[in-house]
Amino acid sequence: MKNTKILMPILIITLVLSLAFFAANQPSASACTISLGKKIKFDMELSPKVPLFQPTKDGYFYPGSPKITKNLQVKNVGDVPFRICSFGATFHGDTYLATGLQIEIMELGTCKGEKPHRLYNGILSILSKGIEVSGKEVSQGKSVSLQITVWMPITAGNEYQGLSMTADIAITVHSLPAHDGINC
Amino acid sequence: MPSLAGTLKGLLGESGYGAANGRLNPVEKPEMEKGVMSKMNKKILSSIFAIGILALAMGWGTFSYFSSTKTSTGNTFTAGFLSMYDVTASFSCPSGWAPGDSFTATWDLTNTGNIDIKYLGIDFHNYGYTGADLANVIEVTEFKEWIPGYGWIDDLGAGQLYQTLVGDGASPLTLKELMQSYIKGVEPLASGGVVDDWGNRVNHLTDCITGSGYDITPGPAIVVGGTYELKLTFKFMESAGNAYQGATAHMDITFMGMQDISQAP
Repeated sequence: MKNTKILMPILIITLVLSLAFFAANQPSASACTISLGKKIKFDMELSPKVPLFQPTKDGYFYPGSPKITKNLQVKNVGDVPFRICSFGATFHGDTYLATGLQIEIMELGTCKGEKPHRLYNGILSILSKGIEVSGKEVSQGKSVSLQITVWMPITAGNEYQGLSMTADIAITVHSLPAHDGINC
Repeated sequence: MPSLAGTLKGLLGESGYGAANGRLNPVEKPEMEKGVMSKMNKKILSSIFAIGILALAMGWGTFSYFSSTKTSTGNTFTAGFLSMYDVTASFSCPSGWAPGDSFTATWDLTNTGNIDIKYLGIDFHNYGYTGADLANVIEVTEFKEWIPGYGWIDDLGAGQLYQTLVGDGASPLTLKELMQSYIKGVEPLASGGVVDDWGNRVNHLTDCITGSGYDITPGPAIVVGGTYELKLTFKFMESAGNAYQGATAHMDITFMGMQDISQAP
């Protein structure tokens, strides 16, 4: 009986606290509906859908060659706001070339006069390990443009001559609480 | 079946059956009734526990962030390559070459790569001679470069005047001055730099770079598929004395295609 008396309050407190805690940490009002059995849409679209970088159009990389910049639009086609949280890449072909290329990924502003936000700047090969970034909030129906610039530094050596590879660049977004960002 | 409130009251000791104050109540219930209550309490406790676990699981599920990943596929990166048709050409002066005689040597370089050669470096090295130092009495009377897509550059002519930039800065431009190409008033250096074939300190071992600095060529030096030509005319100077009879000299010339001046050795 003594054990029962001790356990009961603990159980009730645990029950109440867990419900209160998780209810307070719901990603959004829409997300709450999941627990009630309704289905929400959480998805994004990339545009353009064709490969961004093509040597036949962009030319070849060489030490000090002009930087090649492309824009990729990420659109929130779901019901929940999100932010870009990581980049990854899979390389095919002469993957060593990725160690000789630099990449910079900027998140362009969605408001007038808003400065671009740098998400990553470094060696392309690092993307294969996946990198965590912190993008801005993208509301439902809105989109954000990523400016991706790739170049070969002047210090790159002859070991990269003639190499060619293909990169699949993965973008991952996470949902976020509805009111922690600045909406334009 | 007792109500939940009543059961909780019982469990918390607020009824006559409990022992909230640590002492038994005056009226004791029969042992059989106690056993039934104990079983009921266990069932209720199990139910509440199960509900708690369920709530925890549901809460945990909704606490997790949603995520989505999309991939931009097929992005292709290709590095260009610099390549020149192998230059194995060599020249020899005519037999019986005597003071006052001249001869012309040419080298053709074709860009067989897939990117333009922006700068073309030329390095004279491995110089050697027998007898007297013949390079001191050989005058370079013609120094021309054919730049594909641009035309001829006369390095000794107006606009370039290479002979005023190196050595003593005056004509004639000797083969020795061309091979060393010390920048007038700057090289050889007192310290630093790198040591060249002649044991002097210079900023770069490369003697001249087409498309760079002093050069009037707008560049690139050799476009893809283009053929560059270097033309040098040597004259055995009349002032050469008998000391040069039977003397010989030899050297190697290295051509380097570059994309940036910093790549020049």
